[in-house]
Amino acid sequence: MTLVALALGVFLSSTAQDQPRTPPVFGVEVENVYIDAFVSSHGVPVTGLKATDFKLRDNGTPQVIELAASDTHPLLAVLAFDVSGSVDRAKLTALRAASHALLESLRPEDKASLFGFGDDVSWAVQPTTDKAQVRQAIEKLVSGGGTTIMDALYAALTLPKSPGRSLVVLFTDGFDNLSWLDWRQIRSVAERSNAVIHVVSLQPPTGPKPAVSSSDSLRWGIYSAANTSTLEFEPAWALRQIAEATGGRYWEAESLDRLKAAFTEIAEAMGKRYILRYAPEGVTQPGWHKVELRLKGRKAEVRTRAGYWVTAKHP
Amino acid sequence: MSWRTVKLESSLSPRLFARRAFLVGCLVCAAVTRIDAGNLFQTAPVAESAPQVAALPADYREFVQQYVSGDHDEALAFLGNWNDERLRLQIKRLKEVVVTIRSCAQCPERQAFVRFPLRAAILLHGDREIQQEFRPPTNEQPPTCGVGLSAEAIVHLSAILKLVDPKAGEFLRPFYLGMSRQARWSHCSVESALWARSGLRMYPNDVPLTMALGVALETGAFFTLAPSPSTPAGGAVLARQGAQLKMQIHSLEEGARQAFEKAARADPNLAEAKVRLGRVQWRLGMRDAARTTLEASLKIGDADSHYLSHLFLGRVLEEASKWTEAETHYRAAIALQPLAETPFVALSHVLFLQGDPEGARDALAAGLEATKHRITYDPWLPYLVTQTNDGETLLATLRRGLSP
Repeated sequence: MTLVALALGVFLSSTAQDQPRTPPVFGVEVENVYIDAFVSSHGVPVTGLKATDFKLRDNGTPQVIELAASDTHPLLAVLAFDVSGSVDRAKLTALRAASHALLESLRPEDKASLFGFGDDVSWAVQPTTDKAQVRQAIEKLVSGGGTTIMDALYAALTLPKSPGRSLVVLFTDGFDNLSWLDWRQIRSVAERSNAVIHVVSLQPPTGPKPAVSSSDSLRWGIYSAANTSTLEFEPAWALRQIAEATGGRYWEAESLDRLKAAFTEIAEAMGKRYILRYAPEGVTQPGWHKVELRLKGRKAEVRTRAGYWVTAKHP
Repeated sequence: MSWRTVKLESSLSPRLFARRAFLVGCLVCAAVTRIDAGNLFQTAPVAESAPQVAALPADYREFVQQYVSGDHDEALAFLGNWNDERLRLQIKRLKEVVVTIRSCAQCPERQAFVRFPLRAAILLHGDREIQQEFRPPTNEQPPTCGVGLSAEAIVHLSAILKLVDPKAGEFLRPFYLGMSRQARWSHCSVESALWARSGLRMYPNDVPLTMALGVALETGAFFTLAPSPSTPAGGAVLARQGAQLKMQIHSLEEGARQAFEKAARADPNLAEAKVRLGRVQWRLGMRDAARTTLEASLKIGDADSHYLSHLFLGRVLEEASKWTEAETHYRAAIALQPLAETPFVALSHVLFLQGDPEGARDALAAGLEATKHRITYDPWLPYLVTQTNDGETLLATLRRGLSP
């Protein structure tokens, strides 16, 4: 069996250059689709579920699913950390502690990789089972420069080779100001990856604090802070969209204390995810496959990726 | 980074800020109406026999003279000791002087100001304005920006200078440009635009000032957070606010487009005008115009501007699904800046789009490796967030020109 639907594969079609084209689709042929899901009720993980507790639709067509043992699929945890100038010593210290908690939760066979981003993206540690190496690299992170969130996410999704499940944890304390790529491009890449993305934002871009103020020179004097307190801005919204498209989450850590809690929850959630497998039936067409996963007969929040891409078969 | 996320703790209330902005804009316009060509500007000390500048207090004249002598810090400290009330009174007097001089070519006041070191006074107030109103952010923290009373003083002093000195433009053009660039370096986009506009009101066809205005607007658009594309849960009020914010960004980019277009028309060999015009045209959805402009920019300019043109052209073509053409431009950008990460990221993504994930991975890995050896700035990095304070360089040159 191959994990093809969620993995980056081979692009098989080519079309006239002068016509606008739809994004390419990856994969070769869908034999089995693996879906990584997390179930919670009132914030508490729901464990002990069986395949028969779920119902799954692929492009609206019900599928027969089975549970795959998660321990047969080592995890690759990719850490992408904002080390721009705004990440001061206190934030770095909290980030180190939080990431150590996450690394400790990984199993010996799981791998970890580390990216840092400021003016540039740097790949500090390539995938390794040696968590101590990653810890050491995290200790050596130095902050400075601007912020390249989208470029870093792209690197985190593209560079580490993972045959199976991949968890990307991106930490940032603000907004992008130097990336070349934008959120639409990254969402498209994320949808084609096999990664679950979690974004931990230390200063939530929504809420009263960052709202538009007429005394703020960057806001051009239109709004007051009071009347925009609940207006969500594109950067935070985009990160939420990207994370949720992969079955992950956008976490707003409002304080340094909450940072560690967020990382711990991400680690716990990864350990309590269900890996569901099915051989698609009645949905062989290429393109975007919308996945709907629910529980039968009970209410709970089910987080999973929004779908996957399938390419046309090569003639 | 967080400085886009946190509101400024400006010492100015919104109303006061708006009032001062209005003053800076309007007073220059109202005050400067004609130039007297009969007098030459001098920075020499006030002669005993010359008419005194009755409108100016003795201590003010004294510390302006100190500034001329090169004691900039001391003069600035003296001015700093003036409270707002005193400064407002001074501004009122200067405003009256503008009216007097404009209406009376032979008045003693006019003769007095011919001999008064107006340039030094303007620079001194400029320094005070920078000290008080532009606080460059450190480590991506929010900037603190505004328009202070010294800006109002500068408006009147500039008007007087323009009335009494036919060569005022040699000083005022670079001064306003320097202030605009200083503001930009301090991440004060509004103030940067205000200073450029103030200069343009006196010298409407000045190309560097036009460019400064365009860059301030382009940067302002970039740093104005767009609302999320989804319909806000808060209902009609939030939807309206979101729509207004989008319109605001659009109008900033449109303002930038007009400024760059004007600059490019005035100086067809100004590559930066074409590069920036191409980018804002792309931002405004004018893809064909952007392509034409950016291709034209490749016929002029230097390697850095060609690098940016290739990057932006690549982006325009990528969005039009012309991936192989985009790839060509990204590779051209890499050839010009082989140690910059940006074109490798761009190339990697367009290879990804073409169904070459291995090529995408290799290109990105090469870029991350190359940038480790970079010793100069990738020209993309300071494109929107300037890294050099060339405003201060301009102002320093003007200060040096004061030496008796």
